[in-house]
Amino acid sequence: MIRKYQNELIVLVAFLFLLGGFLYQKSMSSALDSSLSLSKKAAKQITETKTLQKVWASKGLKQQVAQLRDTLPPMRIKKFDQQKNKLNVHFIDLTGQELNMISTKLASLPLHIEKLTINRAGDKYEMECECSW
Amino acid sequence: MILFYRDLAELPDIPRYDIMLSPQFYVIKHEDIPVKYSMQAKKLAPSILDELSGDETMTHEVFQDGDKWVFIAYDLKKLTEALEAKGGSIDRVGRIYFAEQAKEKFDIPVKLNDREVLAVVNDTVTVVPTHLLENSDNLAEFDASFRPDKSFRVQRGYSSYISPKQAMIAAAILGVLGVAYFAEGYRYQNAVTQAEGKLDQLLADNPSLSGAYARESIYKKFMDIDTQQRNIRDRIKSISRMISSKTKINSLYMDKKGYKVIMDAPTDPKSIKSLRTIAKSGGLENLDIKAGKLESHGSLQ
Repeated sequence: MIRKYQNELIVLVAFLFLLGGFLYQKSMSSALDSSLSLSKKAAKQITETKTLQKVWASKGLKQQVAQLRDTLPPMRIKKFDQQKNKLNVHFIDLTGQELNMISTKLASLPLHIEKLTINRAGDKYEMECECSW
Repeated sequence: MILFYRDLAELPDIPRYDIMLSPQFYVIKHEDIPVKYSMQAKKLAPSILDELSGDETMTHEVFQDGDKWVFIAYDLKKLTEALEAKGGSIDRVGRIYFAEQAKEKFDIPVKLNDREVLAVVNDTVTVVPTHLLENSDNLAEFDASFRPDKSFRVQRGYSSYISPKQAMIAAAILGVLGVAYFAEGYRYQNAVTQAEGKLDQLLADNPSLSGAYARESIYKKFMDIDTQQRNIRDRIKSISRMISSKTKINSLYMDKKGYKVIMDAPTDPKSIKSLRTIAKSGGLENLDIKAGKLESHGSLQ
């Protein structure tokens, strides 16, 4: 049989070789796509995580948070509770200008603002804020 | 080895045998031509045997007999049919010999049947009627000693629908394409190795983020914090922009989930339009301005 149809067999073997090459190329191509996509995703995640960590988990915030107390006169500060990585403040009798100043300061620091309450009575404002970092 | 001739009774039922063909199955021509190698002589065989064989489908063989070349042509199809008629098969044939190759052995005629013998006539092995022999009692038996040194094989691919040349061309094209695919695949494989190497290096530089699950989790945590805190700051900024001598905060509540702000607002259409523009660009949702009051609430997630 092999001798009988040897010419067809030669072509068949060559075709199988081609098919093998094609399948190998396809599998390597998809392996490369998946590998590149995985690498790209991992690199993006690592880079962005490091950047975000720098912003939202920066060290040395404790000192900057403590300085907030000095920005307002003591009579405006009803509560200034700074513990480890949490801040709980309650300011009273704030003028519009003071409210604007303290809220701008708070927003400029990379604190995680968890709760913020502002209430007005006449021309004075009361502000409560819970933050962490 | 079996002497195969037209009136042979039957071929033995064995898986493989060699055959010596009687002149009944081939045409022959002796030529003294100046060629050195049998390959060259074989190329000339079709033209030399053209008149005798008269068919392009004939199989040609060539061997040397002293200073002369012996050209032989036989019809493989007819031989196949003859073998099958005797209970044999071309697939079982190992080597083919021609009676002409053992010419010396046929000096003493070999009996084929009661009527015919194989004998040398005019320096060629020929089928001769027995009654023409001068001495019909002196006959030789065909045996293994008739086996010549040179043998021939059945042409491979004898039942193929495509010629060896076509097969070679097609195989070469397919082979080249196959090699190209393998080469490209190998290039991709190297690229995969390189990409994996780079990733491994990146992960080695950041061991705390090397685990896919941990990395995903930390990444998501910080992305959520970033989105949420940016939203909070954007709203604070927008509310600050709206504050003026006519627009003051009455109350503001904000936590991780959402916000609600109530403000005193002016009543003139120009100021209201301006407030709406600021609110829209600052992402303040569900804005309601009426009767000197501004209210907005929305999500921060």
